[in-house]
Amino acid sequence: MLTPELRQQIQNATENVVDTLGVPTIWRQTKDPQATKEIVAGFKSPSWADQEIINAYGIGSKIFTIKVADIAIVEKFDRLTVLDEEYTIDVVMPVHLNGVHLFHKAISKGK
Amino acid sequence: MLPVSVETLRVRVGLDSSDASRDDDINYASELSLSLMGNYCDRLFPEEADYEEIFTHKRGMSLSLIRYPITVVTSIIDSNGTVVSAYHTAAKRGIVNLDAYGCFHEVTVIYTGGYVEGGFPADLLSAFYGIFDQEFAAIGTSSSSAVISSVTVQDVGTVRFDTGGANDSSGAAYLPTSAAAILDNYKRYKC
Repeated sequence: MLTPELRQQIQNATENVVDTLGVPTIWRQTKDPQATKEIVAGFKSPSWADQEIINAYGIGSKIFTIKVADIAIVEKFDRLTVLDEEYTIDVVMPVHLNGVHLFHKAISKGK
Repeated sequence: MLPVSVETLRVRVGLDSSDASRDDDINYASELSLSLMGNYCDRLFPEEADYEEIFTHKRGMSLSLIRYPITVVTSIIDSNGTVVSAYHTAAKRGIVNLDAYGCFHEVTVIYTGGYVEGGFPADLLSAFYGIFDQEFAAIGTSSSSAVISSVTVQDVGTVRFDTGGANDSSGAAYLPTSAAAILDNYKRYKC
């Protein structure tokens, strides 16, 4: 396990990657209270290395990486808007570093 | 001695200018940085008054002082007690040019030299900050602690960082690359 200092350093660095390379995204909660928030999220179209995701969710699927620091809970059917394209989340998976929940990995079948 | 005021360094490390809680760490990092700069350039940067430098078995027409720029040379006395008074100084290069050829068993130079607080040139101060930041950040971490050179977040991308020569295998590996490049211009001129 990492030392707390090094884990924090890596956490900061990984969050910085999303801030640096991510895209402006608007999150809309489907359940009440139907909150919205403007965030920067990782946004990726599946590549040849993501065959399982393509097989499961289709060629038009998208992979979002959302910082837990931005939104604590992201759920299925929440909506993410990138520019004028709106995506509905189909599945959310957690990404951990040691015992810390860093990111939500959210997959959408497409806009 | 600090090259800038302690208040400036407190702000530099993210503290309030009146917050003295980490002055020990600031002083340690500052002294270590100046020492590293000195080792790299083979000279001493901070000013010290009446600094005594002894040359042994010295021959020639010049003395290359280690602490400069020279403010004033107080005295040059050889081991026989003879006062050397015929000389000129190249203050910015730290050189005392003797008017006559010297052949000394031992010669002692007492002088005031170095940069005063707030008097460091901007580029030298930039090099100092580069080293100071590195050393201050390293306080409390072991020397073997990892330096993050790149971070990859799957499905997002990779960001690579300038590790400032931390992974450099050259002789100046303990200095950030940018600082070493600046300090190259401040290496001691020996003659």
